[in-house]
Amino acid sequence: MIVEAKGLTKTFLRARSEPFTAVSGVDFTIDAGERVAFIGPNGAGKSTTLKMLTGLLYPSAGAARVAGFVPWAERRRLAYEIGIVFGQRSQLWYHLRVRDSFDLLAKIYGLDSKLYRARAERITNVLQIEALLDEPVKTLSLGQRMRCEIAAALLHGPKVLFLDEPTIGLDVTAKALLREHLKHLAEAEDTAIVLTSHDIGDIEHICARVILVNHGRILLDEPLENLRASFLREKRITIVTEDERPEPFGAAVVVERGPHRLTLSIDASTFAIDEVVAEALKRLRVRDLTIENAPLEEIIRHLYRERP
Amino acid sequence: MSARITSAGAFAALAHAFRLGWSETWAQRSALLGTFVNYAVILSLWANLYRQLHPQSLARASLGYAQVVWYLALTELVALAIGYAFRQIQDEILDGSVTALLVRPVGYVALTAAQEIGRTAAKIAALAVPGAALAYWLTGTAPFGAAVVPAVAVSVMAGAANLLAMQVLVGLSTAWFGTARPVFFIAQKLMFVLGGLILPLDAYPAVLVKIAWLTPFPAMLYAPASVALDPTWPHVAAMLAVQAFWLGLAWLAVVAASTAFERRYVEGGLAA
Repeated sequence: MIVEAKGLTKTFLRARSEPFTAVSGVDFTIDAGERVAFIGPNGAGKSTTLKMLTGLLYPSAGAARVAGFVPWAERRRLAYEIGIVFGQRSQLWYHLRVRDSFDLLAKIYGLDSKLYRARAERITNVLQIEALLDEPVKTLSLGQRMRCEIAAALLHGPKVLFLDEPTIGLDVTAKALLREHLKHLAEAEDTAIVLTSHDIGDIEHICARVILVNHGRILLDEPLENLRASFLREKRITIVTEDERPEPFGAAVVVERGPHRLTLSIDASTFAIDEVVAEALKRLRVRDLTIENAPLEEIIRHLYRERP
Repeated sequence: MSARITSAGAFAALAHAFRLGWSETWAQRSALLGTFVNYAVILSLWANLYRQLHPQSLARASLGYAQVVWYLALTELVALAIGYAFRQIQDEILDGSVTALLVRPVGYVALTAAQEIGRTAAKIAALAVPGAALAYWLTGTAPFGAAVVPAVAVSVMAGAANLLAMQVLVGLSTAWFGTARPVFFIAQKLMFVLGGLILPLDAYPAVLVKIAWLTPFPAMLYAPASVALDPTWPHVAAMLAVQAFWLGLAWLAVVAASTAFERRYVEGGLAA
């Protein structure tokens, strides 16, 4: 296992007010190459946990090892084994060309020049940033910069990549591109990913496991698929019809009804999907029909309601 | 990849950061030109003011018009070469970018300082020759010969390194005060007055001179300029010794402040 946290706790002492426990007895492990979403509402303790795992905060209690190191005691040595990307904060040199930042990082991490060239070529190729290498960082768009940030974080071959809101502020296309690249790179390099994001799309596209935290405690730690299966019996059926105003039918709950379109919510444990589909085909002039799981966002909302 | 950086590797990284700072400054030609225009305006304005002074007022300090103009050319060279280096550290602490920069095998402050020294060296190299030409044009004379240039160059760099250490300390003060501006404002005014930016300390009242020499500010500005005005070896050696003393002390203070800053950060003071 590459990350191990045991009873990790952080209490902040505050002048003239009660101590505040941001993280309370958190336990989890992450295996090499695993892609884990660490999610929760603002103030849940995500960033505090991440800071402890990267050696940027001493815990008040508990233990952790990342790539074999105790993060807060061996931060400089741990630095070789981890990469960090913060969506809102750049670690590239603003006035320099992207290539200069990469060269400097190679020196900082003491990379062998041949190895560095080969890695840089592979990563820049996957992230499609070859054309940006000679551009000053300050001239890049946010999407371009984020791809360069990820390349910079991966240059030294980290075993764990910590990503904090990597797609924040990006447009839909840039987000999709970045998620695709990230997943591909993590698989190719066998790099574990620990992702915090409020964007459900990031979690769905990049991660295979979800750790949900609230009030500094882990509420749930499950594979993404299990999460869907256990917490989501609900299916969404969207029917596109010839009828201008399709009539709802049966016991299905109408989620959305518009011209030539009807979206129904079905509890799969109560109703057989095939029967609902057959009923739809019988009652409506169907042009198209899609069946989807409910969005992850709703599962999470449901979980918060269920386990406050 | 389990490469480990050695001391030599860390030095190579710092040298690379220096080179990047150097080339970055040369690449920003319009900024360099702007700095020179600023330098030229300051020098010309003050030269005109010095010209209005009664010769007796400067003669009391054994100074003449030409010497004071050359003095100012050198103190301003140091001051303008450093600029506002503290801002980068302040901004990186305030916007949180420092978080990721602390998780690196080479220290954040060391890397930032190495790059800043590169920038400063480039600005000194770029401004020195046109600055000297302007001072010569304004005074019609040069107070020192070519043989003194290496000593002046060393003293100018030592002054700049002292000033940079002060700016790094000012930048790091953001971790405690939430902004570096008030600290910078005070440090800058002290530097102007006690460092002798506009007038040599020789023209100051005796009590102020005594106070000034208890501080590092003369090592930043007065020392390099006075080496040019009085290139006798006892004076040059004395000034370089003062600069070396403060340089050692200032960079020790930087190491201490940088350690305290990182400790404050990881103990939760800033990360909360």
